[in-house]
Amino acid sequence: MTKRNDLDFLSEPRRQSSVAIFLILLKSFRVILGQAWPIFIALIFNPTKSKDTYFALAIIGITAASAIRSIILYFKFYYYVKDDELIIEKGIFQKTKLNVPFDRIQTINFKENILHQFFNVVSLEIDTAGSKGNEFSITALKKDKAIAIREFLLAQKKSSTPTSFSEEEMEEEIEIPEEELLHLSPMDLVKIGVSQNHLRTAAIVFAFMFTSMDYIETLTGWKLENGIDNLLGSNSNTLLIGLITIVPTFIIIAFLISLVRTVIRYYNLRFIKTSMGFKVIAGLFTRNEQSASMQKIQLIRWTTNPIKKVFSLFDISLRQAASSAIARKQSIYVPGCFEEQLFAVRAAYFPEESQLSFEEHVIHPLVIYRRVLYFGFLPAGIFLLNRYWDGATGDYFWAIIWVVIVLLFSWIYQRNFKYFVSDEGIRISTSIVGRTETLLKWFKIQGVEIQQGIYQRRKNLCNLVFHTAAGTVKIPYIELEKAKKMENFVLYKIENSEEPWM
Amino acid sequence: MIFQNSQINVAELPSIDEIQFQQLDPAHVRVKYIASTIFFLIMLAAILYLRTEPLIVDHPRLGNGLLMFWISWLVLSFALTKMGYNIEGYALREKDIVHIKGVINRRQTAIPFNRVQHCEIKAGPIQRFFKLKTLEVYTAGGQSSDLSIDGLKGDHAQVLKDFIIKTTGRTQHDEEE
Repeated sequence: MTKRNDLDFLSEPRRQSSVAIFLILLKSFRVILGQAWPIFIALIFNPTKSKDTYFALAIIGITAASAIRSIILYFKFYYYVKDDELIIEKGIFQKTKLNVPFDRIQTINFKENILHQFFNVVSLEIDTAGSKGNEFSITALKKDKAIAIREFLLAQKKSSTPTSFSEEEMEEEIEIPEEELLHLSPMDLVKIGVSQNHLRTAAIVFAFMFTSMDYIETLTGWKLENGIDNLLGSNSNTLLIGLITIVPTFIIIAFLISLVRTVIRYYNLRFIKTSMGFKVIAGLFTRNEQSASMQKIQLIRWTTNPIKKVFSLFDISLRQAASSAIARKQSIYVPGCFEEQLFAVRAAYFPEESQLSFEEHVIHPLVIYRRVLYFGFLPAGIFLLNRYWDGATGDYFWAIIWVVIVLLFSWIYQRNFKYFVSDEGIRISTSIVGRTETLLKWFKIQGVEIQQGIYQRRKNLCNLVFHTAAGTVKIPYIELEKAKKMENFVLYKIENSEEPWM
Repeated sequence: MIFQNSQINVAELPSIDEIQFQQLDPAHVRVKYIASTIFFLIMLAAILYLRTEPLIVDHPRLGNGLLMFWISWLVLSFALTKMGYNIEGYALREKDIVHIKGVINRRQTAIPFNRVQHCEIKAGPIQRFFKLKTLEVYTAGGQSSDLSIDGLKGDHAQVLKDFIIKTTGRTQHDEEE
């Protein structure tokens, strides 16, 4: 406990590092820019310049107000420790006092972007689980101070939670060295970038262009739609040619975007097994460090897709207990790793997995008909009805094609949906194009739900849903008898488990 | 840690099939009716106002359509409330609470007490008039598995809450030993 004296500073209210003023200011600029970028675009390109002075004044005003606000926010922000709680006081008009009891702290993360690195500060983020979704962050702290605080909090947390370990065992545990499971080379990064889901990125790019087009048009007075119409022509033949040229363009753009994004986010990624759990450090400009203790990890999920398969890559996410709003941040995500690392993670989460026998089950084929009805016939019917009202006929071809595609995918979905049940947990494998597998231990579950629609009631089928602190896992169209048996068993397992599950 | 793996006879496990669900208080239906009535009156006022708009005056069929929509929704809503009351129920077992509801999509949710984070008792203004309470059972993480049981008699809700809290407390105590 030599650290004790260094940490006396925590007992009285403290301000963060003065760099925070600058960082808060930058953050508010980023928020303003994010909200109002179309206005700025309009400002730059607006053909009518009459309102320029007003806009200039407005910008100066906003800048000054933000600067003053940042300074006041800095002076009104305090953190200190009192009675086993970390306390943060902040706010200008609406004062808030946040109390974080040590034993509620789930994870403590550091975040540093280029500016943080330049000033040698880090931003400290503390997450507590619970439905109310509390998250606390201190914008800027000197790095050594932040490390001291983290060690102090973790030590306090350990001593306040009852564990069966004796003092010596604990120390022994801490001494286990960190083991680097994976260090991504630039070549690996390129592989990962190549194997991202480009169709999804393309869709996002497309949607973004589409929605912002309207915005830009009204603000600048440009006629983008006319331009595109001219480009494509109204003739349906050129429309087809247009589609043929535009779709690959979007995919190429998406490909480049995901490549760059992968490199920026996952540059120099290190996946480390610590004494408590796992840690991922990555990033080109912003070094992100995420760590999770094994106990907090609720379920693990890994996916692969045809391109990933070529490189024998998987991505893994280790889902931690968190409220849904911050759940994404709370799951450790490794965008690419090999079978070796996957097995290490599976063995850490579910050590008995390799010894237990798993029973294979499939879901009921009726799921195909339902999916075709909801995703196939229903949209096709609406489409045809809509065309009919427009007075156009002869679009049956597209509707039929759509239904056939949905039928095919639903059939593949049903055929490939498998779940493997054991005494201690379940593994679910789904696949249409790629494959996603989920591993869940029974005692991590905190609620079991049986859902039945009218049709399912008639056919004695149901959806079985397992709720965990890190999201839900659903098995659709399973026989009611089987589901009830599983529910009974799972409830029995949870209610007889004394292991802390988070 | 000693690895225990005694065999479990699955057929002898307590079955959720044998549960007798407890119905909600009859006044719960009245609370729902009053809440729906207020909602539908506001909607009716909005529709009647819309009918004075020139667009709808010019197209009487549109105005009538709105009214028809209002009536059918109202009838459906009241019917579903009544049917829903007959279906909804809860059961308190030794180690978990089970809740069932839903006319069209039926959901049966079971939450073990040793996974409950905390409980809350709430009551809206209409509920207060009928002395009814809502019991909310929270688990960790998102709201997906949180349970909310409407229409409990005031003291009944308190008894349920005390029981759940006592049971979760006991399991936590057990862990410490």
